Amino acid sequence: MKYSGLLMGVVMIAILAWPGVAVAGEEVEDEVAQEELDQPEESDQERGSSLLPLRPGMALKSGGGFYRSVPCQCVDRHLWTTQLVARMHLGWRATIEADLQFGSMLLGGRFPSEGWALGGRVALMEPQGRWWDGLHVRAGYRQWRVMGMRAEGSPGGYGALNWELEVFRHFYIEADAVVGRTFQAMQHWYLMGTAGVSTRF
Amino acid sequence: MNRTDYSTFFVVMTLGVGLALGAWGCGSSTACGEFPLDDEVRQCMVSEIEMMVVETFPFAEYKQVDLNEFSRQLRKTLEADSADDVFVGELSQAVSSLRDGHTRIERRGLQNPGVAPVDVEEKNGQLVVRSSDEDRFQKLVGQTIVAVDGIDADVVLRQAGLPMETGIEGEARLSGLTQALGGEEGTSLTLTMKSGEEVTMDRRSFFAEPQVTIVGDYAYLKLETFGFIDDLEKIDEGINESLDSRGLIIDLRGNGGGYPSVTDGLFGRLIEEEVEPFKLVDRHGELHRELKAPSRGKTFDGPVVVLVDRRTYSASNYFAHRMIEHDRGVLIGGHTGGGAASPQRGKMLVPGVWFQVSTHVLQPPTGFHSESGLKPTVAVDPNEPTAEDDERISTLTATPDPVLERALRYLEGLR
Repeated sequence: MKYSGLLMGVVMIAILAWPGVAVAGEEVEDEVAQEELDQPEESDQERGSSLLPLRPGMALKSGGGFYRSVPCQCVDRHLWTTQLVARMHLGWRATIEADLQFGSMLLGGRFPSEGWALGGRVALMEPQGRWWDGLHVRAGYRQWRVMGMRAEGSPGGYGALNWELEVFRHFYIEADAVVGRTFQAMQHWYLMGTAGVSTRF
Repeated sequence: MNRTDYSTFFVVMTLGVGLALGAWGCGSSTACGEFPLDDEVRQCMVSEIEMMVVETFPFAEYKQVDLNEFSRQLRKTLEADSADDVFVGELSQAVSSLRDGHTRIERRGLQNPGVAPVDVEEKNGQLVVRSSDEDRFQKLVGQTIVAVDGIDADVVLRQAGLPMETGIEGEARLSGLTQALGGEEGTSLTLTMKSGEEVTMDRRSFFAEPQVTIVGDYAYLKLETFGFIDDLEKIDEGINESLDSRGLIIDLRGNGGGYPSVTDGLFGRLIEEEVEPFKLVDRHGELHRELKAPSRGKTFDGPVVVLVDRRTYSASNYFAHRMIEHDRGVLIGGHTGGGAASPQRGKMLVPGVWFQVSTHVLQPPTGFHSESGLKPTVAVDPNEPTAEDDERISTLTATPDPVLERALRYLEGLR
């Protein structure tokens, strides 16, 4: 939790220090008024490489799932999570992402959890204005800790199928189906679904 | 608002949430203030304790505690102008008059709580080594200690009355003389014996991990604590190793408790079908929640013996209660320590001094709660001589263990 402020601060600095973004926002607002009279609106994806090749973005997602203990070989608890994600989009094809995760594990009682992840996302197809263009695959490394652990935390990895849809310019809805594995202390597989919103510039 | 405005709004909101969470995560506060404890801080500490006990303590009637007398005793601690550590000790004494091990003041000062590799006791006013599971300290058993790190044994005996040390995470249970000899893991302490000999030893981690040992046809699972949620995985591995054994001994002697989720997880490996839940109720009998122990994973279906003693407390006592409530096993050893309360309210009064109060009581599906402890199915005096040399015992412990010996005989069909 104490790093979330730092993460948000880094993203804020990146956005504010990106001169093209702040200025372009104002210019685009004026241009939109004129362009709307002339032609259909383009989405971020359709405009693609006409924008800056590197574009910062953020996402906020939440969801839940199941925990399958490796030693027990049983699904014996549930997980909930909220994720604050910072992204750097590399054109339309790839994204680097870092996120902070806060949630809980339900095993009899509720055990607060926290973690962070570092990974990437790759688009499965070039955007052409179809609703399924927003399919991506994601993968990365995760560090996770739950209250009451003897160990400092547990490392792991994840893979996900991610879908996003631009509902209006710069603003997206997202959904993920995630499979992950955690090692060392509290070895488990997890299967989770998350949904949320994101934006990029 | 146009679409760019929506995006900006979203970013600002997310930043705001992030910074707020960051500030929350970074911040820490106490209920009453800091050391040194001035009159205002002490007044606050007394008021907070009094308020929490009066509002939620569930055992006043059961333990025949006069809460007015308790309040009087508590406020009396403000009369003397004692040193801060003495004041905290006096508060702890007042709280102990409630005779509830879960309602207590804790010291949370150790980063990595460590304990001495010898067990000591008070005998006739003297500090004596009771036992050690390390061969090199066996020669000290029964000997009198006159000083610890140069501190007179009389002072050490008084330090045993200090509040329990639970470590900064609140997960350890160092009380009495264990706490008096405790410190940071890895640090050393020197015992000066009555004979004049000086023995130096290193403190080991309080947090011993679950251990399973296969001894012939039987499996022996030593659990010193239920205080770590990730121990459930280690317990599962231990049960997996035990699946082919003819019987299982679960040793909860000295286990001061921890998370009921871990005990229910262990119990879930011993049953195939769902059992009735225990209930957590407040002092008015209102249900707070049910504690269920669903079957999980591969079941160990052989006979189970649970070794218990006076220090089997709280969540360990709860596990023992489940075993006999659902007729899943027997208890061998001594009367358990009890502790059927759940302390779900607590505050850091000043840095390193935590107060918590029992708020709910654990009720079994039938009968009464086990706050005062459970009688063993087979009572064994831990000091009685062992009947015979058993290689299996010597595999598990350096000292004679009549309780373990009886457990093995029980499993072999002798009672």
